Amino acid sequence: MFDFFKSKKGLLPDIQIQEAVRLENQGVKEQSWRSRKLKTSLKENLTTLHFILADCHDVVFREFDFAQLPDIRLALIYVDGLADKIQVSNFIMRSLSLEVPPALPKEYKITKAQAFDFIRNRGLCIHQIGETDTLGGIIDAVMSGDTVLLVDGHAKAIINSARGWEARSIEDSKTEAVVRGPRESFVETLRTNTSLLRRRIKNPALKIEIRSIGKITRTDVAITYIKGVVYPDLVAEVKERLSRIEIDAVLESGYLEELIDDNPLSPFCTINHTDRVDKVAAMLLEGRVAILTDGTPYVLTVPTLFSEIIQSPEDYYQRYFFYSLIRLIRIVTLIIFLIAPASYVALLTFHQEMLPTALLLSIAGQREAVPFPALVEVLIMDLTFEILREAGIRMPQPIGQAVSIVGAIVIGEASVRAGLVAPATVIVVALTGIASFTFCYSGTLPLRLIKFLLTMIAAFTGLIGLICSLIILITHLASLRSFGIPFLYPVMPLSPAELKDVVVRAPRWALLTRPHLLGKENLHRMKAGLKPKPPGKRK
Amino acid sequence: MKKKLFLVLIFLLITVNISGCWSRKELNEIAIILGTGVDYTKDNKIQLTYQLVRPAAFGGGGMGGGPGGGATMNQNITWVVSATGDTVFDAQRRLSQQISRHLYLGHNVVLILSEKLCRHGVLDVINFFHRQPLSRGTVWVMATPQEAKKVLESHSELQMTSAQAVGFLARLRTGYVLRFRDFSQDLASKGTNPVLTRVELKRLGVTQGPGLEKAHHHQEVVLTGTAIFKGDKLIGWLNCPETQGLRWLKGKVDRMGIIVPSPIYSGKKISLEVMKGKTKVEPIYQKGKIKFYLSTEAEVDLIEEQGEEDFTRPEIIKTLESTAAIEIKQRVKTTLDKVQGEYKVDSFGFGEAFHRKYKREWSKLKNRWDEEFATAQVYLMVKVKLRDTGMQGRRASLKR
Amino acid sequence: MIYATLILFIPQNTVAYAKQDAWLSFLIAFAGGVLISLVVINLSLCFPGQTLFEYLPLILGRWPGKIIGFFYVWLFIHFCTLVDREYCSTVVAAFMPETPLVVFLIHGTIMFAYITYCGLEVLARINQLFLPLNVSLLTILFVLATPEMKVVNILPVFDTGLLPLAKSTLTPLSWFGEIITLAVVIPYLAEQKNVYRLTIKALFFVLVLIEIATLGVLLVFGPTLTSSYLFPVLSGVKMINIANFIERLEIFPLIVWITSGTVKATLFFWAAALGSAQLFGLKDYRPLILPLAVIVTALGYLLHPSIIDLINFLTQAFPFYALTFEFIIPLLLLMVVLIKGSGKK
Repeated sequence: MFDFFKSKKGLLPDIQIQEAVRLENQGVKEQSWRSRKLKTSLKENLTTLHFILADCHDVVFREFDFAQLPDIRLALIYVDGLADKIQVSNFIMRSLSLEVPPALPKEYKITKAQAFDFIRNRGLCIHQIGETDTLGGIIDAVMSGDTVLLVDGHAKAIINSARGWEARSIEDSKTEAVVRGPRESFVETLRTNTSLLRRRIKNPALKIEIRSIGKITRTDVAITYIKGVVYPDLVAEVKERLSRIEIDAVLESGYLEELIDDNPLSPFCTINHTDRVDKVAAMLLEGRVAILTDGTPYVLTVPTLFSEIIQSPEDYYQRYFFYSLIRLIRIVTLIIFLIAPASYVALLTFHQEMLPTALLLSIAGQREAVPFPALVEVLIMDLTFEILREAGIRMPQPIGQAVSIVGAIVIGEASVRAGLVAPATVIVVALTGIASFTFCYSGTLPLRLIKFLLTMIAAFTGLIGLICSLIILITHLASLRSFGIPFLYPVMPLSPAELKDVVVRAPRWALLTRPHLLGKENLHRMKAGLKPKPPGKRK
Repeated sequence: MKKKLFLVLIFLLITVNISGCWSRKELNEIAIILGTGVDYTKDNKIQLTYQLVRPAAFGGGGMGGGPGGGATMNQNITWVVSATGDTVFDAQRRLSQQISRHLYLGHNVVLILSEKLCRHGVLDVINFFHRQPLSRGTVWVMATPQEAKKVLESHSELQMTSAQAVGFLARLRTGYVLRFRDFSQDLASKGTNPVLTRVELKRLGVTQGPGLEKAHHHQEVVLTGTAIFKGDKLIGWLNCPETQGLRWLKGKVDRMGIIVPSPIYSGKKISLEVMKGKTKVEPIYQKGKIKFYLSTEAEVDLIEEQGEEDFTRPEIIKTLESTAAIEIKQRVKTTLDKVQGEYKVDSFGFGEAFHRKYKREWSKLKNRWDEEFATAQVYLMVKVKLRDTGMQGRRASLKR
Repeated sequence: MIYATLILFIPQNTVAYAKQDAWLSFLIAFAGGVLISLVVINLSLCFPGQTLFEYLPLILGRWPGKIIGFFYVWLFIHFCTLVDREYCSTVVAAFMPETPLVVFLIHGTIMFAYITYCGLEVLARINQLFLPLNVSLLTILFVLATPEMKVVNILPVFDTGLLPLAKSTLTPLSWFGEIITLAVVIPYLAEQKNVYRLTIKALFFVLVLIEIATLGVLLVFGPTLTSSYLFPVLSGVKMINIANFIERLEIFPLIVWITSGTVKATLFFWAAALGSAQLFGLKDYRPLILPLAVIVTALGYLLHPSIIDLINFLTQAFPFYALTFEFIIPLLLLMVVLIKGSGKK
């Protein structure tokens, strides 16, 4: 670092050296240069920028002469890898250093003072440009991948939006698969993500407000909503909560989630996330606000309802009869998932009288040689399942699947053979485990935790304790709110008319309104009476 | 401060719960009782018999048991234990000192009371099964002229245990069966005397199979009639045909077979099955005399005919219907004569029918109802309707 | 908020003590309940936006009002204790005889305390879930039990005569009278205008539920056997056996018991907490939850030595004691208000 100063020492007066040292040592702490204005001298500006960007070897400083006025020196600053090199060399450098704009008369002479406007208006073939006159503006632009052009003698800089970096292409959603429905999912680039949304909602009412959060990372966060559908107070509240955040880094939307959550002490997360574009679009259309974060495909949607756990975008694309059944199955699955191991333990250790005789005898026969109490047995199997699942996720992809399937079969079969576990227990635990895959992965996380708790409670106090804990669980859920909306809406508070989109999936022509609490700004989705009729009966 | 208090509370809660597990009984800590028998010994004590299952015999595929989980030969499925005591609980207490697991009554299928006990009176033993939280009203209650212990010391060829076999047999309702709830209800009511199903251990059939060439006679528990009580004491038995009459009087005749003589061909018989039947009791109380008008309606199906009656002809059906009615009447009369005439008790719930109609008179009569009933006139009216003739209309051999 | 009054769901263990025509006595009790609720509502509407504890001093003067208020706090604590004790005793006697009662009392109290901590709104919301759940469970159980039912079991009607019928009405009447809690709830209802309609609806609903349970039990067991059981509904459900598979459904009445008992007891607990807070002039009742919870648990454990004692108290002493507070005092208060012409702001 000091080598760098030594080499520059001869060039700079002492006062500037002190200044430079100060600039470089600031790091992320102070960044006093942010609001500093540019100087007219290109050399001075460049020196300052060099100091600020010291040791950033990916930043390219390219100086060259302006073809029209060779005594004017220009400088390009961009980050190698973030800027599109072809655009930079072809449409900025080439046009400025070699070519004369063809429509320009030969005798046309530009003065030094006009140079900046001339370049901006006639010299660049870049689709989007901007201007800044502060160091902070330049640094932000460079860091987000723009190319900055400095013109000697002007205390302003031109920001050329010539971004182009390696990004993951748009792929299938990894976490929420569908059979029918769009496959696109969000990617890590915010701009791509907003474009995906805009492609679905081609309306100026779709607002995308971008702000940056994170002192160091300066991550772009977009608040999107549809004006006229969303309840204005909700947008205000989202903005308010986001603006309170003062944090150094936002690497994933999870960082924001925990900072704007209504119920920080609850195991339940009252902010949903998804990487499905169609799901976010549908959420926006119901009057929700989506928070897109740069660097992650996962978009936060608020407010979140508990019922979202049993809704999948596909429900709305397939015929409603079968998917109504699927909804019911998901509800049953949810209940099984939550209480099956617990009630199994409770029934086996406390309430044997509640099992049919034949079933009891068969289970009793299986368990005769098992050396553990039912609780231990269930916990062992449940834990094994969790380990397998975790291993399946963390393991390198190609072997992951094989190992988890084989592991499950081998361990289950072997423990039954060895007489360590009763077959019935394996069935219950495996059913519970598979049930958890019916829902989106993160939605089940709190439930998985609670499942363990319930199993323990059931082993100590039987079904009575289980019922009491479920009442407390329901009370807890009922007391949660997500951005002011009760978490269990529309079940509690009960809104019977809206259960048709929760318990079952009513046909499209019957889903006339948005959820009442969310969409009160603009309740009606569609015209009533759109149920298809034979031509003769149409009015 | 608040946090500490919270922690203390959580700690307390966990300790209270974990140190608890009071009512906790693992499945392999309980001895499941499937059958219960109560005898009255010679020295006037109560002998309690439990048929316990050995669950290992029921193990499914897992533990090396054969496919289907059936018990293999020479493997004990049940264990019949008994003990005597002054009360039922006294006997059970003695048993539990000898058995390594908690006796678990929650899955009891059948309660068998021996004749001796029934003649002594069942009120002495029945209360135990009322107060037990695990005992259920759905238990089949039966009386046996043999020793209850002997009846339970048996196994079934089709079912895993004889207790379950009796349970399934009772479910088919081929005899007059009743459950603990019905029995207690009858016992408590002044308007009816209780009856009980009679069971016996009888030699039944021959088991067959490779390696079983040496004929193996098997003893199975079967229903053989009904026990008639006066109050809580047994006073007599009804055999199977008489039980059918009882079923007509009680109005529980579904799926009962009737064999009637053919109205045309002498010596030939016709089989009918009752599909639906009900009996209405209409008491009349006039000048201190009690009369009962019974009207019975039955819908029957034709099962077989030995003769060649043409059941496409309405007049043949009419004749058959009236023959069947006479047959039913005969059945009922036999039973009525025996119960009303010989035993002089009201086992049919006629008293309750009387109560429903004559509330005020009932309060005077209820304490000597059986005597009143013994003198009452019973009139019978039977109406039979042929509903179906099975898969055939006329016999194929019948010439036109 | 609407259904917050629908909590008067009555645990069935005292049905046994109603006589032959128990289902009729509930009808009469219902009429009485409507009368009581009319008195309470009229009283409350004279002081809009104020709870019983706030307007008692206004009617009777500062100190007498506060003293009567304390009696009401006690009444709610006692109600809560009774409900708690009722279902804990049921659980212990019928399901887990070896477990000490106090364990379940603690469980119960934790639930009331937590729900009360979450507030009346949450209570109303969970009731919106539990109520349909309980109604459907009871109806399903009733339907499943129909093969066991005999109409002759409830005949002849009016067998016992009028006096025993009137007597047997007293206990259910005092249950219906628990609608006195309305005096505390009304200021928190969202729809003040419909309060009459809602209350009658709520009471009617309770009546239907009780009738389902009572009739079901009577039809299955007949009067003599019913009155000998401590928990007839439980015994009735034990009788259900369809196809040898749908059987042993005891868990469902247990769910109905615990959920409805919790909601009911919590409402009383909340009323007691709110009442004492208002009497002491506190802004928030939450600090009082812990001490009240301890009181309720201790009382639940100490008040009655056995379940027989509890049932004797509920059937013999309770109606007179409860009806004094539920009917006579509100009636006197209403008369005082009408004579003095106070209230009606």
